[in-house]
Amino acid sequence: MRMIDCDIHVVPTIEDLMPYLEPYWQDYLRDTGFSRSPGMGYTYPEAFPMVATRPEDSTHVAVDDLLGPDGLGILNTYFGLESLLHPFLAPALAKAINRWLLDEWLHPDSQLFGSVTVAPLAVRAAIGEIERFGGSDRFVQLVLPARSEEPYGAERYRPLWKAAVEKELVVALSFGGSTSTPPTAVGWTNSYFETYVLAPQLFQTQLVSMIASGLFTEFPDLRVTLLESGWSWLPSTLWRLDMVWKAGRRETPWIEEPPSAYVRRHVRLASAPADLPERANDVARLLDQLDSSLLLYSSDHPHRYSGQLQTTEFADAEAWYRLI
Amino acid sequence: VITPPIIDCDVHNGLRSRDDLKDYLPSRWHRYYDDSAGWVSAAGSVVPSAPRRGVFRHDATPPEGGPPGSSLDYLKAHLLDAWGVERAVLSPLESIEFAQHGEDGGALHTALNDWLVDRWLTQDERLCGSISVPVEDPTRAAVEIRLRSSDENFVQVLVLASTRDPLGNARYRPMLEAAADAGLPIAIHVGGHGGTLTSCGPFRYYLERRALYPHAFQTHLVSMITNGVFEALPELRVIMMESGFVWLPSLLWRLDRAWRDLGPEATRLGRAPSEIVRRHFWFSTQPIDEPAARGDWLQTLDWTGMHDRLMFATDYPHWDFDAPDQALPVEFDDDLRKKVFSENAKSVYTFSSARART
Repeated sequence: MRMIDCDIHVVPTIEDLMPYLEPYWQDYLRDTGFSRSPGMGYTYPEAFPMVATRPEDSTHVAVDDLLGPDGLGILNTYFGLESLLHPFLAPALAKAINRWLLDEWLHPDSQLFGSVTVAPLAVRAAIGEIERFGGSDRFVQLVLPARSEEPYGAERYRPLWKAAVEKELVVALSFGGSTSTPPTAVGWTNSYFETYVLAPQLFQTQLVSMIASGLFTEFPDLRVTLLESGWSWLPSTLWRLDMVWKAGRRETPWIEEPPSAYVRRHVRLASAPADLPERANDVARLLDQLDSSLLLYSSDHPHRYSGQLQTTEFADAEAWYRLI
Repeated sequence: VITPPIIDCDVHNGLRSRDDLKDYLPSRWHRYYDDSAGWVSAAGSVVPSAPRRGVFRHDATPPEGGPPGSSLDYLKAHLLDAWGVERAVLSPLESIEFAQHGEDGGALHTALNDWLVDRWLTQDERLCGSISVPVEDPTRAAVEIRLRSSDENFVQVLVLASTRDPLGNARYRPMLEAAADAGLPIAIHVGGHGGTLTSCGPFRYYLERRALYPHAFQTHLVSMITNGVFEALPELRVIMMESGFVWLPSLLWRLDRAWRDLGPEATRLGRAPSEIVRRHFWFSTQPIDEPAARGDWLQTLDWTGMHDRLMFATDYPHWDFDAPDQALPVEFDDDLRKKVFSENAKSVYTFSSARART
């Protein structure tokens, strides 16, 4: 099985995007001195090398090094568009990012595949992006930020899921995001450290919402990848979720199987970063609990973490992303 | 399975009728109390909060009438005598419907605490109680804690988990400080007034609410550690009540990795966050988590190293009551059962006359 890196971050500069923007937006961005969305600063503050995500790291040389001669990679162009409330600016940037990605990175003979970037608050425009790029065999996934103002099972996102499924795109939830609602279950945090440590809440909330709202029943072909989730929280989360479902399933009869069954069928998790115990036999035990066939390999370039997973059996990303 | 003497650290008694509180509420608040009946203080919307007809075990309804948990005699017979409970920590949840600010909030909580002492804690030596406080008015909460600190009937301060902000925020400090001064642990328990409830806005279903309860506890834990609560109050102890437990190892791993990777300057902490958790936190068992395979529970506990911090609770009289003879995982040996059923509770609670006065 060849190496497939399912989470490589590349970000354009605003100058990179200029050729792909209408003159009005070129002027607007220059006039306002826009350089970076608040969502990027909130999710990937440059001061921390662990998560810094700068255009300087988005070079072809760096990405080629990750893949070697035979590897394949899936690019993630998260740009923090959920934090731009201007109803037309964010979709305009999404479109420019997708066009830039296709031109600069996704040549027909490239080892790389792309993710469709959208402004999640502008659902209609997001569907337009999915329809514009989702049909290309170079785009294999839609990326949404893990954080949203309403959980993704909510009614307003249904058309977005439908469009992604119709284009056979995997939907990836990518670490972080910046919204007008607090990033925790009890309000606002005071530091990046707190926000970062508590981020698995976002993924858990979304998974539970997707299951509770019957999303996987409605879209039996839906595939969801969690990017940068930390993933070691999954086994214990599923234990609880199955237990809660068993006790209270009268409320949600459309959930026909234990929630963990939907997760095993519909969800995969990128391997980096991993939040792990120190000893190797404990890691092995954790992987048993998780079922390591749920893990897709990722480098999460250019992010850097300590204490990461050594080799293990990964899920078949080629099949998951239908790359053949 | 033989069960040793039991300390039940999460029992919910309550008013038989709303009017019963008036015996303890200054008369100038009676009109206000009547008029505020039915007012919902929780921000935002909520979902019906139980699988069937209310949160209670139906068989917990007292024969003489009134809601489950409202009869001292029946609680004694149905819980304490039936299961050989040596001590039960009572946490009435009336505070959910009380104002959390100002003179009115203060008066209601004071009355509830007086009612608890008079009608319950002094009526049976097995009973001890939680101090209810207006959490969002922490200075007033501190006054209430100091007022009760010499009353050995109280063994903890009750904080309902859905606060407006994470508890590490500076504004809560006077409340935490008063608890630390009084030598009383803070018990964070499911429930409350805040309206957020998930990290991605409002949920739709009870399933989501219940599945995601641990998030509030995780947030408080991380917030208190990060914002230096335990550096400022090295004596403070915190009990996570009805929080679930099996989520803890992965959070500890993540806390420590982020602390290493972001650098100590990101957190201003001189020691690994997991060390702080092991030193300052206790957990109750109910609702007992149900891992997929035998052995996973013990493995989880081993990963935390907190065998001395897990305390049994029934959550009587709620529907998801954990029966002492069935709740604990089969892989818990007699030694661990003894710890969980009573010894660990004795390490955090100071029962009756032994409590040190400051």
